[in-house]
Amino acid sequence: MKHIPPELDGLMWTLAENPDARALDEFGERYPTYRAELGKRIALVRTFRGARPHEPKSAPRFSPRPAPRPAWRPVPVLAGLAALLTLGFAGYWGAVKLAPRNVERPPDVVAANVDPVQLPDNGGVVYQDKPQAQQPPMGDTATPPNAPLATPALDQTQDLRVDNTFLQSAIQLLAEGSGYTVLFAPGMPNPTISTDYRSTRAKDILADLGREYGFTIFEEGNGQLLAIPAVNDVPQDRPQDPNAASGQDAREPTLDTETGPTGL
Amino acid sequence: MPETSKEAMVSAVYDRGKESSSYDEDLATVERFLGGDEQAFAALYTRYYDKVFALSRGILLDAEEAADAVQEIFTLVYRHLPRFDRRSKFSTWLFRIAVNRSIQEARKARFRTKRVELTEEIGGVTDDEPEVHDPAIHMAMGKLPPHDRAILALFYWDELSLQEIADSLGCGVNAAKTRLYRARERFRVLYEEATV
Repeated sequence: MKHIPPELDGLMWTLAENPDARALDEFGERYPTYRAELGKRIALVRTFRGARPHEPKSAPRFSPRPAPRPAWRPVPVLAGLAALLTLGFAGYWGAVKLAPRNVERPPDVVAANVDPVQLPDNGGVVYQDKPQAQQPPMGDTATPPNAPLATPALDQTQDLRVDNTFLQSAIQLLAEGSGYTVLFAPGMPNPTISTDYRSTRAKDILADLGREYGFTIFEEGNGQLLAIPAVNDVPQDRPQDPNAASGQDAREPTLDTETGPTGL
Repeated sequence: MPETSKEAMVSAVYDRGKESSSYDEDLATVERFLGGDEQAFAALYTRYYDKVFALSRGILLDAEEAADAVQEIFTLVYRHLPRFDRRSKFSTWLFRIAVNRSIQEARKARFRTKRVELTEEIGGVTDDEPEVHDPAIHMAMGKLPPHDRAILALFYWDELSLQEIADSLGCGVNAAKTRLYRARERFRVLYEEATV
């Protein structure tokens, strides 16, 4: 069928749906070329209406059905899964990053904080040590504060046998044997010495040498020792060498690292 | 043909069903049900079962599925009748639910339709196959989208007016008229292809 003008198309459908004999006759007389098309549409509408589904002879008894289950909602379920994943990851992250690391606590050493103090009477300088507990490294929480400490290296026994060797070289040799480096302060004596220590604690050897040659060893921490020459802080009328005069140190050195003082 | 008689004929067809004598009767029955009279709902069910079944059958093209859908539709009406705001006729509200539910079911049943076609191809037609007056009608309807089937069923099988169809589909009268025209044209083309 060729293109049908819209108004004629609508009219034909109207007539096909409500076929009035007089109206059909009038349409046929006025639009004879569309008579066949109108006939087809009337037949189509009749057939379509005749195809109306046959309802059951009697309606089945009605009983309300149970409420349907709530539909699966993907958004809340996915949100819940995302929350679970986030919590799991946060828990893992916390366990890995925030748990105390099992790091061995270094020995609780005491460092010497040396402050030069001017003495008005003789203009000399003495070094006053202020024992100060060294803080352990940050993040070191695995070892409780009262845990037993390892034996300090200077408490270990060593042998020191030197012949015509500079004092500083002998001290350095002894310190290296204990795992320390030594820093010598200006004015540190450096005579040639000959000595023979056997199975003696390193700190005792150092103290003995200090008494003999006039120096004091301070443990600086971080594996470093500081050797400072003895200073004459006694009146001029007294002998210069305190060891020689009284047989005692001007300041009794100690190597007791466990009790705090660091001067050897 | 005079223009006046043409318009009168058109409006006579399109305005059909406007004077529904059951309008007040439906509202009274609804009020009885909401007042606690369960038999009132049975009356509504009996009164509209055929029309709802025809509509659902026209959209779903399967008698069993239509019967099942009708039960679902009336269950929805039974539960949600207190929400009926009475701004429209009860039948319009009911048809709107029926159209939406049937179209929803039709979309779900697409894969089942393919299975049925396969069964027919291998000759496995069951005894309770719905009676079809003209196979070409069934074939053409089956190729139409559910919305087209709905509007054709509402207009030709339930004989609703364009206003009622518009209310049932949730659109304006002009939109309903346009949709009906297009659905009918698509159906005509498909039907003629099927009868050739």
